[in-house]
Amino acid sequence: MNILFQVALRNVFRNRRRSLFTLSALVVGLAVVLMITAVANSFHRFSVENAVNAKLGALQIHRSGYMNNLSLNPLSFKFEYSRDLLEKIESVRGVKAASGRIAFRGLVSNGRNQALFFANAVDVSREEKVCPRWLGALTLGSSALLSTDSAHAMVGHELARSLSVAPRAGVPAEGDASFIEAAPVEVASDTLNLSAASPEGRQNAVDVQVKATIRSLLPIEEKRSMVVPLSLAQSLLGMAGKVTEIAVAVDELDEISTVQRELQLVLGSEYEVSSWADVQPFLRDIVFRQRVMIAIVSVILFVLVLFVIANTMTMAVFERTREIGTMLSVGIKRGQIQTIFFSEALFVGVVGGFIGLVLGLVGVLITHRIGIPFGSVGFERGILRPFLTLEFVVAAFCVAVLCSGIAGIFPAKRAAGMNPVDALRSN
Amino acid sequence: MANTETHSTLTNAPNANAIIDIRDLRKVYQLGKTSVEALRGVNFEVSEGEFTVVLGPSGSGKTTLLNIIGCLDRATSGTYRLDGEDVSQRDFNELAEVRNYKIGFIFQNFNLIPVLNVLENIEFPCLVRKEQQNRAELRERVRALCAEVGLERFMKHRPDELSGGQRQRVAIARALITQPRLVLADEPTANLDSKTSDQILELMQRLNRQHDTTFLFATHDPRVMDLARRTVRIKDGLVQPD
Repeated sequence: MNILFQVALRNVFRNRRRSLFTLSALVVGLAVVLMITAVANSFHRFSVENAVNAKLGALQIHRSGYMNNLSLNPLSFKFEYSRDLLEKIESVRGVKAASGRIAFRGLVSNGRNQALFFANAVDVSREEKVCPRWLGALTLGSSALLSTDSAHAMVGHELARSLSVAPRAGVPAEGDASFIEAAPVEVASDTLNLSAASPEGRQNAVDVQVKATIRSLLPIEEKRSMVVPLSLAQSLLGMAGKVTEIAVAVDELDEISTVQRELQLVLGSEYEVSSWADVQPFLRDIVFRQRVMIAIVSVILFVLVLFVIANTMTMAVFERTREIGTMLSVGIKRGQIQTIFFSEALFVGVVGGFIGLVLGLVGVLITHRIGIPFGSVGFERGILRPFLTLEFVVAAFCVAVLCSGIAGIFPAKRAAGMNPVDALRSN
Repeated sequence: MANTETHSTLTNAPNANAIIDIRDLRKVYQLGKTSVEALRGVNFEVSEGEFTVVLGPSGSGKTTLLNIIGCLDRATSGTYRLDGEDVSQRDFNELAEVRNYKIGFIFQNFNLIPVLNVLENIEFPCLVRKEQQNRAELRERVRALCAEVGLERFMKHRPDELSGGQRQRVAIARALITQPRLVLADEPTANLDSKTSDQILELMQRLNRQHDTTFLFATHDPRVMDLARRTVRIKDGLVQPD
């Protein structure tokens, strides 16, 4: 090994306490960055999966122009819900399932009072493959919609309360529905009347039986939302065989961009394929903002680590002034002095980075195995599983080493800039 | 009695036999707005193989002169030829090269590198050179030097495991490993007991004879003065005529 690196390496071990302190700063800094990023990643994935599996679907297909004209008459963007189209969609690599929907609004009445509603009409038999948790959080006494249901509805809990309706107790829900306690409803009936306008503006009405009431995180959903079978909506709206959107589930959420591209290619310009992020930009923005916050925290941690290393290295330079003078007297060049101190910082960076990496990964692995319990109304009662991407791990390690390198530049330059006479005179 | 001789009268032409040839050397330190002239036109020569002592009281300019001779510092004006080459205008890295190839240093405080063992300390000046060293050959030279200075049993020891005398022997070996034209020794016996001082001085004198290396001492030790073949006195920034 080059004598300069030998000197650098031995000096790291020479003052063990100080090196240990510097290493600890780097180890703790990197491990904390890895841990908080892993937990944040798991929360982001949990939130996105929850939204995708509960309501959105990973991708949504609409007639071109639908997304830009939501405020006009979304029903006018109806299209044929054919087996051919579904087969075409499901033939794309990465697509797991597809299911047709109609999103519409209208008035709901119990005969005495009426209220505005926003409904999702779903193809019940297919929907559970696209959004496994589409049933949401049903209240006790509810039962889920079945594919054989044609005049039934699931109603937001607050909407049901305001209209004094509740499901008839009895048949338990199937599938993944979770049942939760809810404030008792003063029940007058289990039947409601829905009225809505067709795409052409023709009014129609239909009676539905309330099979379930749904709880949600969002008050607007509790007060206004309904889920009805697709066939009921098609009949009510005069849209036989038509839908306004097809929700698509993908095999891997991480591959969503590729699948989106492929689908768009297969379907052509007549349709537009949107991802969950396009449909729910606020969720995408929340994820983005949280990532920015984590990045800021990480940068602050790395800057602190940088200052700790720079400080201890500068102390080392002061303590070794005469040694530097000695080396200068035997003919070492300024660049070589820099190499010694820079190598010391870099060595601390590599070792500290490696230990921090191992420690952080072990922490992530343990929390991933154990899981962090997480859940609230509207969310799946689940467990967060912290995880990291390989790219981030490599980047974090490189940044840690880079920080050490940068921290070493100033002390190394200081050491190299010493006057040999003054350095030799130092005590 | 000391074997002394007066320094030669200088002519304008450079002395071909001189290892050190200093002409009208001046050094001015700027301390704020005040200028302090440490050397005021020093003329001074040392021939090859000499064993010379520089004497002078504190503040006489002796240390400044030695720093310039050792290429650790540069003069404000005047010329300094080392081994026939003018080194007065060399830059920092060029002076480092001159130090590495032509000058060996022995310090009062030994100044060894604490993380290197005896062997590594001695070979260090050769290993920092640009050109690749033949490590086996170098190690052989180091071993021979260690034997010469009586350190063959301590080659793997770190400086903190050695006595003062042993450390100074390491410093001497390190000063000689590059086969320099000049060895500068600044108070080499100041931190040693009298017995060890005698041994170290005897060793340096022997090496001076064997290797024909020029030794220049800065010391107050009368034993060194007794051994010196020549004494140069410096006072108020000027070399005093004998």
